[in-house]
Amino acid sequence: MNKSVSDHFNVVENELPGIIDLRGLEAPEPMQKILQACTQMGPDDKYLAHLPHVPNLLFPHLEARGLHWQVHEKADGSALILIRRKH
Amino acid sequence: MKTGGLSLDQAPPLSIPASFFLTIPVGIILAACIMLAYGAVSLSNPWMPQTLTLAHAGTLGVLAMGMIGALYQMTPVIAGSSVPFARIAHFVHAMLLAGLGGFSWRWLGGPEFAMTAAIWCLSVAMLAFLLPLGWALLRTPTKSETVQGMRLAIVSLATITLIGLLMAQAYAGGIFPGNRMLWVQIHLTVALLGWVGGLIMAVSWQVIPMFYLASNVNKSTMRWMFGLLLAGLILPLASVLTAGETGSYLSANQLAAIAALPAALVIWLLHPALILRNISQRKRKRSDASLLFWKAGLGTALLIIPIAVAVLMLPDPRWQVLFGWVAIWGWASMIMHGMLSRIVPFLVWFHRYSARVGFEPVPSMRSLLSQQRIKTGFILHLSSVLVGVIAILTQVDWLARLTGLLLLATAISLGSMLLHVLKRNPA
Repeated sequence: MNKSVSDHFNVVENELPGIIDLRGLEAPEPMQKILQACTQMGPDDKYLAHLPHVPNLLFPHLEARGLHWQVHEKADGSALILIRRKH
Repeated sequence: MKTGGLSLDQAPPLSIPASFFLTIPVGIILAACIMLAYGAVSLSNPWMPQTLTLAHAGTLGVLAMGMIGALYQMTPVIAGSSVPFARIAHFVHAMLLAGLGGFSWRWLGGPEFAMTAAIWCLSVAMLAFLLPLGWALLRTPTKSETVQGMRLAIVSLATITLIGLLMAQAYAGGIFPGNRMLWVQIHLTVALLGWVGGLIMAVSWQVIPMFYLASNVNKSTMRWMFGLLLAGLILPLASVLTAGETGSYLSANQLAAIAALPAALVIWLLHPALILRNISQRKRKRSDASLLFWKAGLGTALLIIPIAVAVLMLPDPRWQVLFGWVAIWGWASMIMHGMLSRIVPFLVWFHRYSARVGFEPVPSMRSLLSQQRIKTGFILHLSSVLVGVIAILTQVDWLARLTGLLLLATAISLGSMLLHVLKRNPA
């Protein structure tokens, strides 16, 4: 799976962190988990999560925290999100 | 791959949906007052002015108020497209309230001027709502079935507004130039199945998996349900072309009602059965009082087609009143009440607490509203539905007034729940 994930984000496969699966959480718990994990991220850290849907409401918060994100929406409506700090 | 999204400026302020939601209890109180004042008369015949007021207190004061408020919030979140000039929502809200006030005043004995003013207020309100929202839904890159359903809902709202306001001219000294019964049937069909049913169905596809961890509805299932719904909304319009030419056993409005069958089957049979099944099979069965509303509302939906058949077959006007009561208060408003008990805490958490996550401890969304408070609202709402059904069938005056009291209690419970959550602020 990681190979296809790296393709989605144009990232070298071994630079990707493990996928945190947040699909089993009710809204807004996935957002809460991501914000808790990403707020103190270092400049080279990456965070990769699998969410039940594209998290439109999360994006303004990532933006406000100086974080860059990429989202890939899957055919089943779930979404992969890769977050890193803006350089 | 998406790398952009909404900016904080694009997300609508909490005050927009909150102002609509906070006036839902006003619509319920209006309905309660009519039942308390007029008793069984208000539930005896759908053409009684009190019953017309009651029906529009439900459709404009409760359903449209909640659905318009929710669409302002949902469009950026679900469709990923901001609504231009969102601040005029406060003007839309005021005009909607004024329109409901004008309708009620006229039907309860006021002058023709009240209806004229109501027509103007509602025309302006709907234009100011539909144009920006339609623009946002049109230009969104999101192609999901939920977005398609939202589009269908607002096209339906535009249609029923046009038909409704043309028919309302008859109460303002004008004449409606058409087969009134036929257009009432189309107004009713598009309102309940397209506007209300279309939005409930589309939103449930998004929120039931999101809030309750039920399975996603299969995309192909969504597509054919959407197709059937569309067919059931277009076919009744064909009956307009045959109006006056049928010469058959059935009148044009009866034909229009039957032509809506595909839509009725989707909204009042397939959708409730599918969502009830998904809820019962959900992955993490966490206790949630807001689900009681969904179960009761969807369960009630299954009764609507049999009641509609009774309306077509039996001449007794009580069946028509029962149909309206069960559809508006037992099905749609029940689901909306449940959604409010889940979405309002979510919005408060998002707008007031989410920016602090990661910097300081924040309360969980669930801790913002107690389950007991939601259950109290549910018991009152369900009791009012049941007593109302008995009052309609028996026409016993004190039961109609008791229904009014239960509506009043439901409105107070809902209003206090909304205020309780909306007053929550970080220390």
